[in-house]
Amino acid sequence: MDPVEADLLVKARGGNLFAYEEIVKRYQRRVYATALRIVRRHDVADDVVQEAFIRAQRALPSFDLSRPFGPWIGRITANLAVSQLRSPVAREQGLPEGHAEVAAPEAGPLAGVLDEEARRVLEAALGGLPLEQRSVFVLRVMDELSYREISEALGLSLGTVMSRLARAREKLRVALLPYLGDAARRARASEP
Amino acid sequence: MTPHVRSRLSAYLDGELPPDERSAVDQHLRVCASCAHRLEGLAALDAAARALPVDAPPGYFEDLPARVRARLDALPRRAWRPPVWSWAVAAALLLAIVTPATLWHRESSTPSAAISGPAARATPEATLPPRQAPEQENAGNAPKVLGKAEGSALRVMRSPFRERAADAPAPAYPAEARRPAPSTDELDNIRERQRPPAPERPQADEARGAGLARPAEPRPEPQAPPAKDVAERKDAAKQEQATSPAETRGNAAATVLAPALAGGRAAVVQPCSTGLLARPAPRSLAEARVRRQAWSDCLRDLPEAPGADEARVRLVAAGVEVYRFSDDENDLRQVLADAAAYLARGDAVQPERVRALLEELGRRP
Repeated sequence: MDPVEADLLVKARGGNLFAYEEIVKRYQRRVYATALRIVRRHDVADDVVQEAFIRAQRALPSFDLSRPFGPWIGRITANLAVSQLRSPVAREQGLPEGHAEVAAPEAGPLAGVLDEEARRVLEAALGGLPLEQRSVFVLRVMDELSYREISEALGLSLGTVMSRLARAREKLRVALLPYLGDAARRARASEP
Repeated sequence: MTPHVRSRLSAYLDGELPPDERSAVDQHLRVCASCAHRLEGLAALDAAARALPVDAPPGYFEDLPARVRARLDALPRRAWRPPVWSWAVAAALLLAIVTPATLWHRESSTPSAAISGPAARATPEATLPPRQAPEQENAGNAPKVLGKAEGSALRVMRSPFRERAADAPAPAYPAEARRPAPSTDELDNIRERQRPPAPERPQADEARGAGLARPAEPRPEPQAPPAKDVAERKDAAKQEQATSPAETRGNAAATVLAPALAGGRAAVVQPCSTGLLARPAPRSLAEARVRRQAWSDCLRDLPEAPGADEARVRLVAAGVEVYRFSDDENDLRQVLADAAAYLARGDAVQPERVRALLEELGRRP
């Protein structure tokens, strides 16, 4: 953890809401991405994001500062997102149209791995995954949580995490089969 | 060639396979183009998923931090939980150091020798809260049943710990001390009494219960404050009694201070203590700070007066209330300092109450 963030977390843990606001700014895009990938709807993701940050702030006294904050709040977010979708009134919908702002938390050399069409296909395939597989995939691939962290976050056994992730990847791989050859070549080309 | 390893490629990609399985997959991938190609596809898929843009409405991320902040500001005060940090350890260390020192000092100090006898010794035991802690001296003694007034007052004092499921009953006070709150006339009459309480057994019991922990030898009369101050305080006390939310709190105040009143000196300190005892529990950080300062002022003005022991304990409790609202490390330090100062006193009568407060500070959430 970088020293600035460590200092912010210490102050936030002491009740300094200004410091915590800075933490929110640092992690809001990542948390929103996790929430949105799971719940697939902005208004629901917004609720999840706010609730995740509030719960994290309330739980800061018990947070081990020697551990990274990102995976911790990622777990909180995923748990909330899954709970939200399992509530009786929740239903899955696609993203509303007309959003202008783009926030790519992991954009980099691989941003061009897939062309636009392939990205749409991947988006649709991701949305088509069962919630149980999608939540595990998002936590592993987007939030880079370990299997043990995912099992703790979602209350699953390690074996279940492993099998759900494998099935999720297989479904996505099949959906993107026509595009993955090019993607793989570009990925190799972008490697140092 | 070894069997295909497709079912293990996902975990292999994540580095989650045990060493022996990972080695086996490594060996297979060297000779199997199909599995190697599949692994390549999974890695590209992961990279593509990470790179997917995340759409949000315009201005969403500009507004979100402030919205979160506003919701946090609007939340009711959270359940009091001391942070997990070194001050919890400091509180535990303070107990570990001061408790044996206090016990040793009390064993060898004059007050214990002067007020001797089984009944006198029984009195502090009767006032101790029935705790299960190993350091409790009278684990086998059952406390006297509290009257409603005493219980109410002590529950008010212990408000930060209401959430504890297994709250120990509040300390018992001698039954003889229970009586209604004194009227103003009664206060005047008491003030006129000449003789301080003799160190007889029953009175010593009451005195120890109220915090008068002095040896039996005669004590010099404390200087009376200016009459104007006394009159003002009497008026304030009268007003407090008239406006106090419940008669039970007034009863509790009388319970604590009645033995001290018998000596006549208490008229000097009693008004400020009574007023404070009669107030309801603070509902905000500002109120808690005012309360603590009031106890501090009460002690500062009359540090050796009857009732001072109770005021010192109340000072610690008031500091805990402040910390409960503020979660400020400086406030925690103040609590620990007040508690240490009290426990280090040779005439401390109610160390278990202060230790109970410290133990709550030392608990992890």
